[in-house]
Formats: sequence, structure tokens, C-alpha cells
Amino acid sequence: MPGRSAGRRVNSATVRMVSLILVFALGWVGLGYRLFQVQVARADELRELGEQQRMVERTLPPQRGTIFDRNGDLLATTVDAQSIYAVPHEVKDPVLTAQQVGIITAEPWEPILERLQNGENFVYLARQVKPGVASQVMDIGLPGVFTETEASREYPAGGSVAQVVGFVDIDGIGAEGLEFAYDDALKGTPGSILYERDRLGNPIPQGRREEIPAIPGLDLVTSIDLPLQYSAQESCRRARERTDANGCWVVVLDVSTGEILAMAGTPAFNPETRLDENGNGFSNFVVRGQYEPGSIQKMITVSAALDKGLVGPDTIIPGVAARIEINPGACASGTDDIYGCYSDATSHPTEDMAVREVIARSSNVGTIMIGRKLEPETLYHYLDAFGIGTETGIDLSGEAVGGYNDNAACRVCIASMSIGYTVAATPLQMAAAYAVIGDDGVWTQPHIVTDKVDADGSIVEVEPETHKVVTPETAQTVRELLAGVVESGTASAAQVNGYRVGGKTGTANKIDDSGSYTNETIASFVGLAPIDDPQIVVGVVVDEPKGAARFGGTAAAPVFSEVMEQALHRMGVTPDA
Amino acid sequence: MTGNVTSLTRMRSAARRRSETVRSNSRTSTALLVVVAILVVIGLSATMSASSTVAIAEDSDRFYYLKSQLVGVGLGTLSLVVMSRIPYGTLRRFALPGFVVTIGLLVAVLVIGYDGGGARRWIGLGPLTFQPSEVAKLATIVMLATLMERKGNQITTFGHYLAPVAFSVGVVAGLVMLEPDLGTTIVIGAASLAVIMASSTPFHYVAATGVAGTTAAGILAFSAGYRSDRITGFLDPWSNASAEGYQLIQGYYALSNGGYFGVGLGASRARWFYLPNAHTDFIFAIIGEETGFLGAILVIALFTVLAIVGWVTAVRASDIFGRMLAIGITSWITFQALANIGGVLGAIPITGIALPFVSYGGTALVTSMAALGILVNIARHGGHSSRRAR
Repeated sequence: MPGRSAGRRVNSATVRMVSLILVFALGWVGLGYRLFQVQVARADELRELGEQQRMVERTLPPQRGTIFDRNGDLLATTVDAQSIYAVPHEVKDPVLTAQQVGIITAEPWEPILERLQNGENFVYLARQVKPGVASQVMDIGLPGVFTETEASREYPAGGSVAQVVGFVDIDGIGAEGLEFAYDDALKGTPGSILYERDRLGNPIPQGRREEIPAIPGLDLVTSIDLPLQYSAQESCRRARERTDANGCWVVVLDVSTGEILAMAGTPAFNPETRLDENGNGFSNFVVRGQYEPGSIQKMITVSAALDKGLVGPDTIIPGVAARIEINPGACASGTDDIYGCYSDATSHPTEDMAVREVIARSSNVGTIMIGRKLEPETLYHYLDAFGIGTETGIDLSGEAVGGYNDNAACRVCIASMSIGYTVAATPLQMAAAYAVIGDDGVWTQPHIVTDKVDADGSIVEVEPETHKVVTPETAQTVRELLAGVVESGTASAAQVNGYRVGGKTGTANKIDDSGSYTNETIASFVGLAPIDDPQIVVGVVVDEPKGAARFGGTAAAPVFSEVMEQALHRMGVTPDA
Repeated sequence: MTGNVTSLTRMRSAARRRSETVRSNSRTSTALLVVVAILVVIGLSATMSASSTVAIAEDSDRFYYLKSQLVGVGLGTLSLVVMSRIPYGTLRRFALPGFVVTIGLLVAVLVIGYDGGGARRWIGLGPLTFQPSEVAKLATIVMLATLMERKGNQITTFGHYLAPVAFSVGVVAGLVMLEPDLGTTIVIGAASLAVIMASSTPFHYVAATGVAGTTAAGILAFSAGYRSDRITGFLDPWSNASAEGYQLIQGYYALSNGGYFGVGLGASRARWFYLPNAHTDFIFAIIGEETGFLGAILVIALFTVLAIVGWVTAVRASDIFGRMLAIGITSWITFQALANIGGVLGAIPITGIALPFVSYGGTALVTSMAALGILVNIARHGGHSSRRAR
């Protein structure tokens, strides 16, 4: 019967379907378990791995502070520059790429090719190029070549102030000068950004994003007067040409505040190449150079004697000869084998000389005789107080300390130090010592940065250290003596039209490598103006001037005159003569 | 009198049974429609999220894939409605012509189709694309059911059994493998095996066919490089995290990121180019990430409900043809869902097949919704005895 047999088949088919259902049901249960494992049981571990893949942290570089001169003109600033880089494994044709980039950036292409093939995952092809150059490269559409914006340091004032401002390295870290000394203040604090990126590296719009903004570095306001800096540099350059010297350095100080108005010199430094014109690196002789100052040191010897009341300006030093022998036989030896024979620069008969005259004529013998009135300890005290042998603490790196020989048993040393030998000082230390006389006996720490300004405009003023050295009366007397040097003594070339100036020449013989004195000189002049109420100190050092102009009065004094005149005009000082 | 009373009682109880049957049929078909509607909506949401990044990367409208899918939903709904209104018995007449057209399309795709992902599976029709292998799933089931029913009680000899199977399943599977598309071939094979099982074929034939099919699938799986890669990726994804295991691991990251409640619609991170095929084969991972374990388990539950209702429909089918169709369609959808989700969850190797009703893909959507229409129609005519139906 067909119906019954159909019924049996249906029943057997039903059994089959039930078993089919069981097989599938097992599948569903298995999947539910698997789902629970992945989404709940092991979720934390897996989610963590997924986040590691997506989260990326980038450092946000802070904007480096700007450096201004005293008038608000830019000395150093940061601008956006484009750097061209490559991801070498994405570069299709390295040779073509190197050649194209080389042509546009005007650089040889072989080193670019080398960098492309050095096995790194990221290489710079050209750093901090002009925006037009970068866009030209991108316009070619070379695969694997990209640009990024980098901060680039610009020095609008160029070489004239480079020895002061210094420079940063290619990564923007202060390497020399103010850039180095104030790197902590200028560099600011980096921020960071944490975000989720997609597989192509772009931020995911709905993704997590945590940003800590960068704090920009402090701006620095310096005491440099850029026009004066330019003209000081120019005066030195001319003097160096005129005297065929190795170098010329000049520093201009505000007497009462210790502010550096200019600090210039040659050989000039090129901030682009980071070399000076002789191919040497960064140096700033005003701060880093130490030398035997010679006669300009006599100011300190005489100040000490005056301050102690041992002499007055018109005290007569009796019997000043042309030559004095400290060690018996020194003068007879005729060589440097025995030290202790000192002569005046020009021969003269033995005569009685007023202290005023000793300074005006720069008599070595007279000064040594004044110096002998001082106890060694007293001389050391005044050397220390005037800042000889101690860093001034100026806000530039690499300052030389200088020093003097404090062996009291060395009688030659005391005599030598009286006239500026066996003493080492920097031009800046000498300028600061002369500022003591200008500021009624108070030493003020020289400095360049006057204010640090943060992003909100709040200003931190820099307070220089001060200490008392001599009485105001002593300072007043020494000013008169220094005026005499210019008005009737060795430094008539230091005169400035319309102003009374005072100062002191110095011509020190250089020591050769074996330690013997040579005929080569370092010529100096340090002076003050206006002498009755000094505002400005200018110190000049000329290294190895040649020929007739190799003395302080001939090599350095004319530079002083030019620079002092400019400085007085720039600072608006009323003429007094 | 008694006779009258008896016959009245009988008539009343028959009427009650009929009305119960009608109510029950109505519940079954409504359940099918509701489940599919929810799955389609979930699919649209996930497609919108997962495909917008791809669309943006391709420089097209960010809703390009969503719009395309909406066209599929429209056509699919139309075909569902039409198929649910045509009495399924009519399909016997359309089985052969439909099958011949399908074979034609499968041949055509090999000739004029375009390549994608190392296979030739699509025919371009202007702005639209058409995937013949999707249509082949339904056509094969209808053809096989028609042939098996015609053979009826004769399927007690192996020859009579093999001829219809070889003619329908064999030809289609061969053509689909030429594309090649092993995943679709396996789905067709599994659905066909279910149809055979629901027929009056002796069990040892069914078992032999099952073993042969599984063996063939296994050999094919290892025969091509990209397929054995998938097995490597399945067996040890973490040692091959950037290559063979990459897609699976990215799917894990997406699912784990979802946790219990998900990161919210449209907030998937995996869709940002981390997860390949996020809007197609791996859409389940996106659903899991955006709606969490709750959303993902809901999808599994919906497919389970669909399977149960499908089998109830098959059991209640008024004739053997309806039963075979219902079993075939239900097994196809269920097997494909299991294989897809199992692949995403790393329970089985990735087969590269889509999630029915959910994944992006117009042809698949229209075909599977048409199949569901047939299932609804079978459900509506269910509950009658097989004798009356014939």
C-alpha cells in the first residue's frame, strides 16, 4: 500500500532530519562558546594587543625661544623649514631619485644615493631646505620621497653677532654662545600626543586622543645694541687690516648695570658654515681668551695704593730710573735666563715722578716702585676684588678664569704683576675692572641677557651680582689719572670728539711656545667716558699688530675712539667737552 | 443521529485542527520574516560602518556600498514577496529551465567575468555586478529536489541515485570550482547532501556521498596555495600574525574590543583598514566590535531560530518536494552561517563565504531572500498530510 510505505519513509526521513538538527545544534553551541572565549574570557589580553597595534605616541616639539637685542630686533628666531626624507624600500629607482633630488637641491647626488642604500628605514635626503625647493621635489612625485616640517633656526643679524649668539646644531640643540648657555630656558618643554591610528597611519576620527601641549621656550632679551655691534665689528675689521694683526676684539659695557652693549671681533664667524674666516671653529676671545694684559693692569696697582692711602695722585715717587733690577744680575744677563730686570718703554734720566705722571707716561719702573709699597696680601686682595683670576660669571659658556701668581716669596712676581705680567686675564675681566672705576668703586657682573619672557609675556629680570672694591673717592681719583693718559699721555689717539675720556694703554709681549718673551705684542686699550660721570667702558684688544702700530696707543686706542663715540651716541649720552 | 453527532464532532474537530494548522503556519512564516528582517537591518548597519572606510579610500561616496546594498535589499524584498506568493509546487516546472540558465551563467562567468582576489566570480552589468554562483545555490537545490522527487521509490539502486546527483550537484560544483570558489562549492555540496538525506535515498548512499564529498573538499583545500595558507592561518594564527593569520587575528582584536556591549555603532576600529573584507566575509567581527557579545550572540541566536523554524517547516511540509526544498534552503543558510561565523571565530578554517542576509553582496541577498520566500510559502502550506498534498 503506497500510503503506508510513504509513511515509513517519512518517519525514517524525520529521524534523519533530527540527527541533522543535532549536528547543526552542536555547531551553534560550539560557536557560542568560542564567541564567549574571544569576546569575554580572553578579551582583555586580545584588546590589549589590538590597542598596541593602533596606539601611537608622538612627541610635540616645543617652539624654541627667540633672542632679541635691546631694541627688539631679532638675533635668533625659529622658522618652519621643509626637510625631504625617503623611505628607501618604497623608492622605486634610487639612482633616478638621488639625481632628481640632487639637481633640485643643488647638492651632489652620489651621497644622496649612498644614504638611500645604507639600509635604514628612514633617511633624510635634504634637511631644512627652502619651501620652494621642497615643493619642487614633491611635484615630481617620486615614490617613497616625502617632506616634513622641521623647525629651523635663523640668525637674521648674521656674522656680526654670531660669536655672542652662537648657534644650534641641526637637531635644534644649543651648541655655542647664548644658544648653548640658555639652552634650558630657550628649548621649552616637549609635549606629547597619544592617538589611535588606522592601518595607513592616519588618526582614527572616533579614536582616543590624549594631548599634552608643548610649552614653548622662553624668549631672551639681550643688552646687545645691534647697530653698535655692527659698527664695533667694522672698526675691528678695519683695525685688523690697518695693523695686519691676527685679530681684534672689542667689548662695550654699561658701567653701572654691567650690561654688554656690544661684543665683537675678527676673525669673523660665519653662522652658516660654523667656521671663522681662518677656518677655525667658534671662539670668542673677549670671554675665552686670556693674555697678559700689560700696562692696563697698572690701574689696579695704583688704585690699591690710593685706596690704602699709601699715595695720592700728586705723591712724588723719588728717583725713578729707566731701569730697575729686582734680582741682582738680571739686567746684566741680557736674556730671560734671570728674571727681574724691568725697563720703561722709552729711555729717560732718573727723575722724581708724581703718581699722576707715572700713569700718564706708563712708567714700568714707577709703577713697580708704587707696587712695592703694598704688602703682597694687599695686592692679592685688590686683584681678587677687581675680578682678576675669577670668572666674571657672564652668561656665556667657556669663560676663561685667568689668574695670578700668589707666591709671596716671589718678589719678581709682585713686581711683574704690578705692571701686568705673570697675570692672565680676559678682555672682559679687564673691562669689568675698569667699570669699577666708572661706577664709584662697585664691581658689577657683566651680562648679556636682561630679561627672560615666557609665552604669557611675564618677564623675569636678571639681577647681576655686585660688590664693593674701592671707595668712591679712590675711583674719582683714578678717573682723573686715566683722563690724563688720554689728554697728555700715551693715548691721545683715544680721544673722542665732544667727550672727556679716560683710559689706559697696554702693550704686552707675547710668550712663545718655549715660554720666552717675543717681540710680538698684544696691544690693549680700556677706557671710560664721559670721565666725570662714566656711562660706558670700552675694552679693545689687538692681537699681534705689526710694525709701528704695534702698541696699545697706536693699534688699540683708535678703535676705542671710534667705538666709544658710536656707543655714546647710541646711548644718547650728553657731550661734556 | 449518533452518526450525525459523530460526523458533526468529527467535522468540528477537523475544523479546529485546520484553524490550528493555519494559526501555526502563520506563526512559522511570521517568525521567518521577523528573523530575516532583523538580520538584514543588522547587516545594513554593519555594512554602512565597515564599508565607508573602504569607499573613502577608493575615492567614492562613503555610502556607495550602503546604497548598493540597499538596492539589494529592495530587490531581495521583492523576490521574497513574489516567491512567498507563488505556490512552491510550481517550482517543479521552472527547475530545469532555471538550472539551464544557471549553468549558462556559470559558463559565462568563466568567459566574460572579471577577476578579483585570484578568482573569476563576477559578471559586470553596467554599474552592477552579478555573482552566478549565488544563484547556483538555489537553482541546484530546486533542481535536485525536483529530480529526487521524480525518481521517487526508484532510488534504491545506485545508478538511479547517482544520475540526478551527478547531473545537478556535480555539474554545478565542477563549474564553481573552475572559478575557483571552494567555499561556495562546499555550501552547495552540504545543502545538496541535506536534500538527499531528506529524500528516500537509502542511508548508506547518503553516508557514502558525505564521505566522498568531505574527502574531495579536503583534497581541494590543500591543492591550492591560498587555501592551504588559510589552513595554516587557522591552525596557528599567532606564528603567522602578519601573513596567513593576519585576518583571523584582526577579527579577534575587533571582537575583543567590543567586550560585552560593544564600542557603539560606527565606532569600530577594525574597519580602519586593519580587518580585510570587513564588510563581506568578516562582517561578524564588526558586529561583535560595535554591538559587543550581546549583539554577536543575538546574530547567532537569530540564525539558530531560523534553523529551527526552517526544520519545523520541513517536518510540517505537506509533501516530500516541500520537505526537500525546506531542508535544502535551511541547511544552506545554516551551514553557510556556521561556516562564516566559525571561520571568524577561528573554530574552522576561513572559507571565504559570506554571512547570509548580513554581508555586503547584492546577488547573495536577492538569492537568499528569494529562497526564504520559498521557505515562507512552504510554511504557509504546511500541516496537510502528504497524501492530500500529492
